[in-house]
Amino acid sequence: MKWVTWEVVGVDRMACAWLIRRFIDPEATFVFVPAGQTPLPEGAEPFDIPGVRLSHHRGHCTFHTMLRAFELADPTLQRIARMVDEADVVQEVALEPAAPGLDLICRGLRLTSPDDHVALDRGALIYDALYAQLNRVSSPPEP
Amino acid sequence: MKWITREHVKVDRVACPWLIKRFVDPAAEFLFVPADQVMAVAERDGATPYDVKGVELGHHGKECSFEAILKRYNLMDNPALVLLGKIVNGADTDNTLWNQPEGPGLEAIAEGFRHLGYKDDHDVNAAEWIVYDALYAYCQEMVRQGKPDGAFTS
Repeated sequence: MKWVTWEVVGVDRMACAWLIRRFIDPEATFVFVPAGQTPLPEGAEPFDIPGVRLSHHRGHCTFHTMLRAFELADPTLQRIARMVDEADVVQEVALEPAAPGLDLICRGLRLTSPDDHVALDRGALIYDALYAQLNRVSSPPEP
Repeated sequence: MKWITREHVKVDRVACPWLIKRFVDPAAEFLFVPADQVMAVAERDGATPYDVKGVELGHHGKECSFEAILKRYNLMDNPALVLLGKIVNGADTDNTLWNQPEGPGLEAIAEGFRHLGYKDDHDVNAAEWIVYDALYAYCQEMVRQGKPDGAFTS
């Protein structure tokens, strides 16, 4: 399936693309359009674009919206949603100390990547690592 | 030149090789060995030890090995590397020296790289250097914007 979002990806869209590939649509391909461009390409599911179904809702990031839309209840994904919320959306309280570091690494990855496709691939590795670490600390120790 | 440290790398022992290769010794060759063999192998192979107790390129007070390398190799006049050093310190230590808000995120991601199934420390380093390239780009951008302590520190 084809997915579309605005170009120059950051922390939320890297997280969403990772989520789509790992948990929703392993065959996903991504298309990027300039911010504000309409109409959006036909036959592609838009995400993290203002006004679409899979975007920011009620003060939460798009990653958070996608967990609800696709009924993903994995508690580690919920933790990541909270981090992305804190990194991407103004939050009144900070509960996730890892959020600023995650944010700047994603920003830096876009700066060091030749295009958005490469940035998504590199961002996916960051979220793989974060997911592995959060799973590890939330699981009971191995006997 | 050969550089040697303890095996099972996490933060400093990925950040330091990145720093050495990019800014100190482009031909660097890295060795990762059990902690109790570092000094013996260093002597035998003529390798420079780093991030080991008691060496010049190790922790001093609350400063981490990355910062020791910055000082030893005259890299302190690069403000982006100085900022990166503070972030690495925040991830590698208890973060009480600089209180750098970006530290915990780097620590979580660095710890995660140890659990992605790479076969050895060389492979972890090879995969994870994109993180330090990204951090360095961010630090350069912060310096350009007149925020030498990063976006999150006022």
